[in-house]
Amino acid sequence: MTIRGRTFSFAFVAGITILVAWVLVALLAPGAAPHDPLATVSGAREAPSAEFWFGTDRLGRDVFSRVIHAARVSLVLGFISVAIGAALGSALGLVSGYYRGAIDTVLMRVVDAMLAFPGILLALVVIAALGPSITNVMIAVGVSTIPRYARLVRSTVLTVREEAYIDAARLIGVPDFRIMLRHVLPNTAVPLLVLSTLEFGHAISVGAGLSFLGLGAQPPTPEWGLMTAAGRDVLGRAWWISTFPGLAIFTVVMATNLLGDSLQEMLDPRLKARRE
Amino acid sequence: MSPPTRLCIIALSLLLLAACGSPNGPGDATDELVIAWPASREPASLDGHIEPYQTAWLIDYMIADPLLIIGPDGGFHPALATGWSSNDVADEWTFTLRRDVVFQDGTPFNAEAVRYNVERILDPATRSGEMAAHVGPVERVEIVDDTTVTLYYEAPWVTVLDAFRRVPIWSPAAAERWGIEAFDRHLVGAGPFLLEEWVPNDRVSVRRWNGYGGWNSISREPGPAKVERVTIRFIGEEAVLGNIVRTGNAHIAMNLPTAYIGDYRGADGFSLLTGYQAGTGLQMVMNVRRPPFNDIRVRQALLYGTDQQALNDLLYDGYYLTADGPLNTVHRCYREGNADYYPHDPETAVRLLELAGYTDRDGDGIREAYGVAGVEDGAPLRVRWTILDREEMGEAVQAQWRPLGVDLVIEIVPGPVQLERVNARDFDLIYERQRSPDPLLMDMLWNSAHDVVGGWAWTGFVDAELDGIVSQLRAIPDQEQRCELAKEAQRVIMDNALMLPTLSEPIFYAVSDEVRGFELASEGQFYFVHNAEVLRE
Repeated sequence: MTIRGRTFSFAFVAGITILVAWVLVALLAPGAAPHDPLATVSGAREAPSAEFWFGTDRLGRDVFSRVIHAARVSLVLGFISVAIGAALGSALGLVSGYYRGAIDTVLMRVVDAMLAFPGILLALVVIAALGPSITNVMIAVGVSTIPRYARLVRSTVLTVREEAYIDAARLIGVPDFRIMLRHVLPNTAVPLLVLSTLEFGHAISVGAGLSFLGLGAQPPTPEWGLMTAAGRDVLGRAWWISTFPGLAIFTVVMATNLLGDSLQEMLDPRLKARRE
Repeated sequence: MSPPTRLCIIALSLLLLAACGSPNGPGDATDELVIAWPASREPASLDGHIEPYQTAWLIDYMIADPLLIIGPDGGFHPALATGWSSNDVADEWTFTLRRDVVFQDGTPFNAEAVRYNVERILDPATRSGEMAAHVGPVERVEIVDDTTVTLYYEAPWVTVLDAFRRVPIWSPAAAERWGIEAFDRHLVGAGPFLLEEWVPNDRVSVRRWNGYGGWNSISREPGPAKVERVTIRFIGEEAVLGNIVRTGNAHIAMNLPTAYIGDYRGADGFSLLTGYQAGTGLQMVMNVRRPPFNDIRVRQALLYGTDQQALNDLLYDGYYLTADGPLNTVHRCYREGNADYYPHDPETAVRLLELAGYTDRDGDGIREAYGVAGVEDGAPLRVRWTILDREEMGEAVQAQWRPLGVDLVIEIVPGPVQLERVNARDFDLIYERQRSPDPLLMDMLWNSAHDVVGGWAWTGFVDAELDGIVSQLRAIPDQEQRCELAKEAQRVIMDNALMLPTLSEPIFYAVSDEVRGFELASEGQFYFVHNAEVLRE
């Protein structure tokens, strides 16, 4: 697809369209939802109908309204988790890659230790320590992604720090902190953007998983993972309770993956060259 | 076709055939009775002397006959005892025992074995969760002769029969051999089945004991049980439990979720049994030691603000029974007037909360405390709902209380954590259910003398009138009088709004028509498999 002379892949357009649609849904949720997401508005487990598009849940709440409101929780969870992971991980990677030596060895062993745990396990440990809540899920998911950011930023910094303009900056006496911030960090922006896009979907999916297990959002908060869990006991006779929040998770995660992959293709010169 | 190819095809066909049959399912093992339980009903210990939950006693029923049973007719009937009597004041109880019984390890059952079991339950080292409270203050156990034993109590104890119908009589030799910690994996009694294995979070299997003499009066014939093996499978997912009998992976599903009742009611090949259980219902008791429940107006407000019938209709399609007091409606000592105490009246609830000093000044929909003793001004009216399961019920109550301005926080905890909360008195509303047709449970739950660690009086409410009423339940044998006392106690409890009644849960069983002789006791949670058999197709 070509827009103003630039060609965008179908994956990019699809990903960004779906994601923007969800952001709009989240922003407009209070006006767009036909019912109060916490109120019992009808009988329990009513099938989808003209009045209740996605049916009602086991407490007679409108599933459509809850899915819309849950978008706010899940998208905020994605943004904050990514922000935590990206900020802390980048800082670690930056310091580690720039100074190398003992600092690098110590920091990377810490990162290696974190990488030794699967992300979800690390998140579970954090939740176990902090207690179940949506805020703690954001922290847990963010912390679990730190190693990936640290590794990525470090590898980029290792290349950038050897550039002549970094040596020049050092020679004229620019402080290390300023060099890192002004000259090194901007060079990590592209890979960081790609990773953050991919991690955004991953964070939503892990957050929903933790809520599904009862470790994240607590009732009556509308949250996709929690809503999916609430319907699993009656999946055979009230499929809509779990299916629609499940579809919401699926579309957001798919959109971020499409967007992340296409951004990588667009911004990575090697991939771009190979494609051309 | 080359020989290796042929071999592969044969091997694949065999694998396919093997995959089609379920080795543990009833389809190819008609001598095995498979009963599915919700995973939440799995006890922490199989030794009923220790474990406070009834499901342990239900498993013990298969391995060890008690002295007597409550039959399907609600009456006491002999098992290992042939008869019993007490003196007039009910502080001496004599049991006459069967002569012809041996335990599964070949050691004899006699008066000495009964004495051993009573002393084991009462020994503090056993750390009996509840059974010691039921057996009561036994001063001494006297062996009159090999088949006669007399229990002397420190005070009249009129509920001895109800207590001993729960007590599994274990082989003293086996109990001594394995000790307190390990015996629950090696239970030896004089019941129809031998404990085969317990795989926690999965199953308990028992195997027919061919030495069983059918000495429980529930047995229709002398001799061993009919079915070769009984396996109890613990199922974590409601959807699986709801379908497990239909899919042929179990013969019986206990605690069938209400959403699946329609699949079995009137369906070909299945029957649906319903057992009611007298007791407290699914009550939430209130901690009156601290705000907000140290104020009766708050307690009353929440009772007015709860619509039990709506909960029942919404969550359980109306299949449960609504509860309106400390004893459920199927209990013979239920007090009729309870229903009139706190009819659903949100307006009165709101007025009482206002009077108690809780008002919503910041407009967030949740009330804050202003001028409430012991509470910082502006603190939100937040109440914790601590329960083992049934999250949906908490959520439904949460939805009913939100318009009142009450923020209900649901806390789902496992049993041991619940007891930790109780022992630390760290709760607002906590789930406490007891099942018993005897009104003595009112004393257990409401007498402030039992407000001690390990006791079952949790609210912290101390009232001489209530204590005086319920303590008489231990001494008065006349059933009518006992019920009157229990009703009087209910009045005091409702006057003071000490607990939130919600619903009372019948036990639904989905039973395959292949099963014969499966009998419910008069209490819904108990059943007998002494006569059960699985018909071969």
